[in-house]
Amino acid sequence: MECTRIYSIHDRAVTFEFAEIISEAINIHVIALKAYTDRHPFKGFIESVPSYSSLTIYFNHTVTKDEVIQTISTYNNQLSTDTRNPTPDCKIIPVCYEMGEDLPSIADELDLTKEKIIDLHCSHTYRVYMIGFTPGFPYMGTLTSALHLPRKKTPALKIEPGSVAIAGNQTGIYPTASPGGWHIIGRTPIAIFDKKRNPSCFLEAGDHVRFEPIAKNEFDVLK
Amino acid sequence: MSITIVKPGISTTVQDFGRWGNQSMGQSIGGVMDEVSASIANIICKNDQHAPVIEMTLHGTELLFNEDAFIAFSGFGAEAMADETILPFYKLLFIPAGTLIRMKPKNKGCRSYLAMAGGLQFDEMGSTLQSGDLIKSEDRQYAFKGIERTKQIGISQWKIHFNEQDLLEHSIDAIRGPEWDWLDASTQEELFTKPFIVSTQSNRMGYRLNEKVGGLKEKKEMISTAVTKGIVQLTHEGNPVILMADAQTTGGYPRILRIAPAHIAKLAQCKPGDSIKFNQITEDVSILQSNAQRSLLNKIKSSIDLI
Repeated sequence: MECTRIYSIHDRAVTFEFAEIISEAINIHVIALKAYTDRHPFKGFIESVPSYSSLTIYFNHTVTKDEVIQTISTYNNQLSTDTRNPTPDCKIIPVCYEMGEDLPSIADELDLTKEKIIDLHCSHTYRVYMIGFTPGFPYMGTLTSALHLPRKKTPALKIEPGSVAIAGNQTGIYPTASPGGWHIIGRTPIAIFDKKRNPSCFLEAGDHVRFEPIAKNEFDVLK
Repeated sequence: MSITIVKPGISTTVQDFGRWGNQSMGQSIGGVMDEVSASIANIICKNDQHAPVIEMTLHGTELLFNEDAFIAFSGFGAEAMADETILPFYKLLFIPAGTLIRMKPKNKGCRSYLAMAGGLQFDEMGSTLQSGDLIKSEDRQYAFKGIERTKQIGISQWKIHFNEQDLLEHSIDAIRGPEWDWLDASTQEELFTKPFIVSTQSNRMGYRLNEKVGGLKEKKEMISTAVTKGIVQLTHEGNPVILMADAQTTGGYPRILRIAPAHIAKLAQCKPGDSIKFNQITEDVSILQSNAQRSLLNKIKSSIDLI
């Protein structure tokens, strides 16, 4: 896959962009390029950070931007002939939908029953496109069009850790207490981010995820 | 060896020079805001240039020394006082056990740094300090030429010389950002001619600027992509936001400028209410500036090594 644009976001960070849209095929390529780069660190390489459709390479002053561009372009060409990573196992996330404080209001807005919303949210396998916003926050897609809603006009000031939320064609999980503008439809007892755990993130870009409804008493047991 | 935080002041943290390797998990790099001042404090103490230091925003911090220590202050956020004695910045100081140091208003820059010979240890790197927090250092007997270990505060004869104005003037060099071409021509011109005031809604994550600028040629939505320290985003309301040391790892606003890395230290010393101006440079010039900044620190280090 060819880069559509290569640009600096810092004198020592260059971004390789493959599209300006959200696409599973492109994200698969970005994650594969990240994995390949991490397996083949070059002189001066610090880290690689994937987003929906681009990969950013951070490097130190012992290497020039042109050298980095050349190395990553070579990696990118090798990748097309390289065997792709197999489809990852699906991670199951239990969700207590009773604890979704915005579920009643969005049921009205979408003109669907709460049960139908839960059913639709649980009947898809999602891809983790990227981690960002706050430590461990997974941006997952693609949400079925029946559940598409714009973000809240006024973001909630405090969202509980583990809150499962939707916005636009995405679904996500708030790992820590934070403000946020997505609609809260449930809560998971799983610690999505734990600094003291290795790895600290429960999910990483490229993972496949399914949600499974649980009752409040099961939530309390699992928590 | 330890220091007790008696009062945390406006905001006091222990900072290293950034924790890399976890941005793909959404963890920001963090680290000191003004790397130049923080490095100088470490160099004076003959520490590793990138050893952890205490970063104090403006004034109000009070620190109690539980044991004897050799320390150095740098930066411009406050005046350091021990009783009625003003403790000079950019000199090596001997502080006897039991000394209480208070940071008083100075109205020059925004941040001060304290380095201690032996470096500092703290588990919660970057988290806001509270009264009663204990910051430890390596337990070792340090000795420095020309400064006595007595029951009194000792001050070195020598002082680090550099042009303070380099860190205190508010002309900030910037390079066109990845979405520069999205801006209409008048906005592009506005960015490099108009003065901007640093808003009170500014912190270690980012500086919001009070003035709005025109906008985009056409309405265009961006999908989230990487951002880092120095990126200037254009928010929906039209206010530019400069991302600083605790920058988030990804963002979805157009990245209209990026600050020359060598000029981040100057921004770190800007207070809410200060007026700044952007000056356009190229990436090549920016890289030369960073090299010059590294050489300056190396030169200071060599001069200290001779003492």
